[in-house]
Amino acid sequence: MQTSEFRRMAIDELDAVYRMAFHLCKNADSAADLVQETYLRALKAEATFELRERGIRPWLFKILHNCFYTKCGKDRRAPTLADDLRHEGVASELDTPTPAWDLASLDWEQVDQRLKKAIDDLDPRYRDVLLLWAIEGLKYREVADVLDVPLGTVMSRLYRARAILSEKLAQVAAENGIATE
Amino acid sequence: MPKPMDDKEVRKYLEAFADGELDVEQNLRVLEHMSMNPQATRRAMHQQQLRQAVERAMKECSPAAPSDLRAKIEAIASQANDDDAVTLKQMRAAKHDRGILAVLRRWTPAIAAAVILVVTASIWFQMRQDAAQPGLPVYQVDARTAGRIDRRHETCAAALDRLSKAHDFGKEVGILPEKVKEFLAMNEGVPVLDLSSIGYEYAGAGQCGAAGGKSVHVVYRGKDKPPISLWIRADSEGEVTIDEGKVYVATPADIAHPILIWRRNTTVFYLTGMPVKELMTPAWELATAR
Repeated sequence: MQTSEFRRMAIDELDAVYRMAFHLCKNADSAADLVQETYLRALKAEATFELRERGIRPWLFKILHNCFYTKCGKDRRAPTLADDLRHEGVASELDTPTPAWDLASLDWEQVDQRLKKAIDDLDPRYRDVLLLWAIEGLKYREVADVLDVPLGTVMSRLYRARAILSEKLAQVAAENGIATE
Repeated sequence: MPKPMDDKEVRKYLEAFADGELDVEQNLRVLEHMSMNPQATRRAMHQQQLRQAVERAMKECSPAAPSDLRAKIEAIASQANDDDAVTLKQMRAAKHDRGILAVLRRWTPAIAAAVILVVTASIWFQMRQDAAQPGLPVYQVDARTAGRIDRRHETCAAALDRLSKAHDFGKEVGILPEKVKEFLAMNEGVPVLDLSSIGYEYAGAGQCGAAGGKSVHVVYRGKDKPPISLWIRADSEGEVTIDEGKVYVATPADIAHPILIWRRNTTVFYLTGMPVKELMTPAWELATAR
């Protein structure tokens, strides 16, 4: 791939990279710093980039997350024993009843506010997976690659994140007099 | 006709089905199951609705990249052109080394400890050498100040020639202090910013786009020398905890563009563009200017 093409692709993804940085940092200034660092590293690492089906976005996200966690001085990506245990427990958790209420029947504005709060309150490990999957449209395998965790861990974290959000929305449904089981 | 799924498989595949992660055969098998089980259909729909709700809620509070950040990233990308040949060569060489790295990875903790020891020793040695130069003392900022500065100006330092045109600081170094004072709304005067006596010509000034407050970015060019950048920032709140009359190293001394920092009353100056040793002469010239 031509260098100019690589750079055009990278700059085309700037909004998505900034959006993810903003969700990670929760602060515009820190997000801008993080994005600059990400692009500096990405441009230096051009030769290691391999174009795949989903373009450059997952690769940039991977660099972004590496920069972020390096900056934090923490490694929140590593799967924990609890994660693996939860993954093993996913099948049995699916035996829980299906929600009797329909999301479409809820007031969207109310749902948006409560969802935002619930997502903000999520454990960062769950939130990272959820945002990459729901907002950026990455596949399970791409999320696993970005966060450098096994596919099963992505599935279990996503399952847990959705279960938590679903529970919060059930409360909204109940407050609005919409039946829940 | 696909083979019907048992309960265990359904539990395993239903969410992946809702997320569009299954292959054609698996999809058909889940659909077959759903045709006989309305609860499974409802669960799959719920998962899809939840995804849409998350996307909708979070996109609303997801700002687009600010225009100044976009300009800066584009500047970095165009600046990087000059370094392409070297960088690509280095990266290709690095690819060949990955096999060796895989082996080394097992020894990472021991290697990391050794590297930290060597780097710390070399920085300490470098600092001592710099400090030993007569008339050019250099100090290390405290951890809080280092954390505040961190890599804030790394981007500017990577694109030293790029100056924002948003504010006109003039082409004459003689009037620059007055322009800077006016721009930063300072009560005190700004010292002379001329470095021509030591071989650096004033190349221009612009508003610095780095986060963390208004500052002015001044660029100097030297003959057969890399450009150097000076940032000037008002700090009336005393956020940068350094003593006046001393020049400090604000970043690790071994990075490509270490930053030297000093204070004049409520004004803080940051200088970068060369290794610490070479940077000390212009830093001291500016720090002691009238």
